[in-house]
Amino acid sequence: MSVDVNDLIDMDRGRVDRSIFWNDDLYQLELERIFARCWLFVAHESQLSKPGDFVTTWMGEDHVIVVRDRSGVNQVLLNTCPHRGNRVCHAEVGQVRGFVCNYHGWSFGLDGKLRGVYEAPAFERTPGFDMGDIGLKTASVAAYKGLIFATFDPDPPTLEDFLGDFRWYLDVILDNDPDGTEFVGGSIRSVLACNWKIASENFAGDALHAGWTHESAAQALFGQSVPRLSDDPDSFAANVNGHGWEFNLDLVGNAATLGDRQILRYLREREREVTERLGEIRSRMVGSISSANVFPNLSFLPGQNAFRTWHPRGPRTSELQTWVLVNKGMPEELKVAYRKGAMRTFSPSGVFEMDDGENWEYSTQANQGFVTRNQPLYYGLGLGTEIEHPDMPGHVFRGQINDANQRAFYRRWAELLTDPPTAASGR
Amino acid sequence: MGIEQPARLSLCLAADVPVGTMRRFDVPGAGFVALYNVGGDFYATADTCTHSAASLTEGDLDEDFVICPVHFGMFHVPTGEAQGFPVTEDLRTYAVEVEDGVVYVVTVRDPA
Ligand code: FES
Ligand SMILES: [Fe+2]
Repeated sequence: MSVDVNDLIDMDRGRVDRSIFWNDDLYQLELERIFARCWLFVAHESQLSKPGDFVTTWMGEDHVIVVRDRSGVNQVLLNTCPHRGNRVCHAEVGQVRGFVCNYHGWSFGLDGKLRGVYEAPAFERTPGFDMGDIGLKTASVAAYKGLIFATFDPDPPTLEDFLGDFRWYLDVILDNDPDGTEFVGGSIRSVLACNWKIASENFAGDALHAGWTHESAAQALFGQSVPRLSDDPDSFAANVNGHGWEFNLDLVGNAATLGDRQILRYLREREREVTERLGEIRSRMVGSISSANVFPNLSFLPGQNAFRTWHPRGPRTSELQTWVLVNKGMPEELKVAYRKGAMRTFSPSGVFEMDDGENWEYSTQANQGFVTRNQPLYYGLGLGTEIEHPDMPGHVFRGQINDANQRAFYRRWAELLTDPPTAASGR
Repeated sequence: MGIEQPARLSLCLAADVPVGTMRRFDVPGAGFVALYNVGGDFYATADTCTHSAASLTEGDLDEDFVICPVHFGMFHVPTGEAQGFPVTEDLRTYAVEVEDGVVYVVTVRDPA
C-alpha cells in the first residue's frame, strides 16, 4: 500500500482522514493486523456448559467455532475444512460430538483434530497420508471473568496484558456480584451499512451524541430528556491500550432507559454491597450513563447490559451481534426485564439503535463522494483535559464532551496497522 | 473353512467395566470386540464400525446406544442394529456370560 497510515490521523491536532472508513486496501490491512492479531471476544462461558456445546461467530471475516471439548477446555476452531475449504459447521449454536465435513466426509473432533475419514480402509493404502498432520486451525483462547477471547496471533501478549488496567473498569460489570455473570437468551443479529470503527468509537467515547441523537426516543420512552452532560461535573472518559470507557457516576442513568422500576430498585438495593466489593466510585458506575469498547470491536452499555460485536464486512458494512449480560444470581424476573429492556432499546427495532444506525450509515456512505472523502474530520474535543485521578487507572479525562477515547482508539489502530506481522504469523 | 464351534473366553473382571462404560478387547478368532456395561448388564459387539472402519469404543456410549466417533453412526448395543444413516449394516453381536465376577464372551471358532 502506498499510503502511510500515520498521515491519515493527526491525534495531536485531532484530525482523521476519512479514507480510513472507505479504502479497501486499508480494510485488508485491518483484517491482517487488527482482526487476525488482537484478542477478540468470541463467547461468554455461560454459553458453553457441557462438552460439545458450541457457538459460531466471527473473528474479523474469519468464521470460527467456539466449542467446549471433551476435557472441558474451550477451543476456538477456524470453521473451514483443511481439505478443500468447505465449512464444517453450519449452525449458530448447538451441541455436537464433532464436525463432519459435507464435502468428502472428513470428521474432526471437538479439539479440531482429524478423527476419521470416509472410506478409511482405502486411505490406509494411500501413501503419504497422515491423519496426525491434519486438523482445523485453532486459535489461542483465554477468558476474563466469564468473557472468552481468542486470537490468531502466533505470539500474543497475555489477555491480562492486552486488557491491562481496563480490567479495573470491566469489573464494574463482570464482578459486581460474587456469582458472576451470564448471557440470557440468544443473540440478536443485524446488518448496518457503516464502517465498524464508527460504531466502535461511538461506544468508546461518544457521550456527546446521546442527548441530541436519542432525545425523541428518550421522550417517547419515559417522557423526559436524556440527562444533560452540562449538568454533571462528575463525568469522565478513561482509556487503556485503546480500550475506552466514558461514564458519569449517577448509578442508574442508563439503566433507567430500560423503563423498568424493578431494575432501578435492584441497583439501589445493591449499592452498599457493590461498594463493599468494588469501592465507592465503581459502585456508582454500575447502571450509570456510560458506554465502553474493548479494542477493537467489543462494545457494551453498562446500564443496559447489552454486549455487542461489530463484525467487519468490508469497509462499508458491519454485522452486529448483540447479547444481554446479567448477574447469574439475579432473580429470574429481573433477567427477563433486562432482556426485554435490551430488545426495546438496543436491538434492530430498539428505539436507540435506530437513531444510531441512521447516523453511522450516513457517516460512512457519504464518503462515496470524492470531494467528501477528502475532507478531514474533527476529533479535537477535550484536547488537554487529562487528569490524574487517585483511584481511576489508565488515561483519565474530565468531562464527557471529549474525543479523548476516540483519539486513543485511533492511536491504537494506527500503531497496529503500521506494525507488520512477524515472520511466524504465516497463518 | 470348517464348522464353527462356540468358544468361551474370559475378558476381564466385571468390576473393570463400570456401568455406562465400554472397553475394547482383541479376541482371538473374533478380532476387536467391544464390551459394554449398560445399567449393569454386559453386552458385546464387534468394535469396528460397519460404515468406515472406526473403533466404536473411542466413541460415546449413550444408554444402550453406541455412537461412532467418526461420522456419528449409531447402533443399538443389545441387538447390534444400525439406527440409520450413515450406518446401514448391523454390528455383529456376541453372547456374554458373567460368572463369579468374571466376564466371558462367547465367540465361534473354526475348529481347524
Ligand atoms: S472439503 Fe472437507 S472433506 Fe473434502
Ligand atoms: Fe447512541
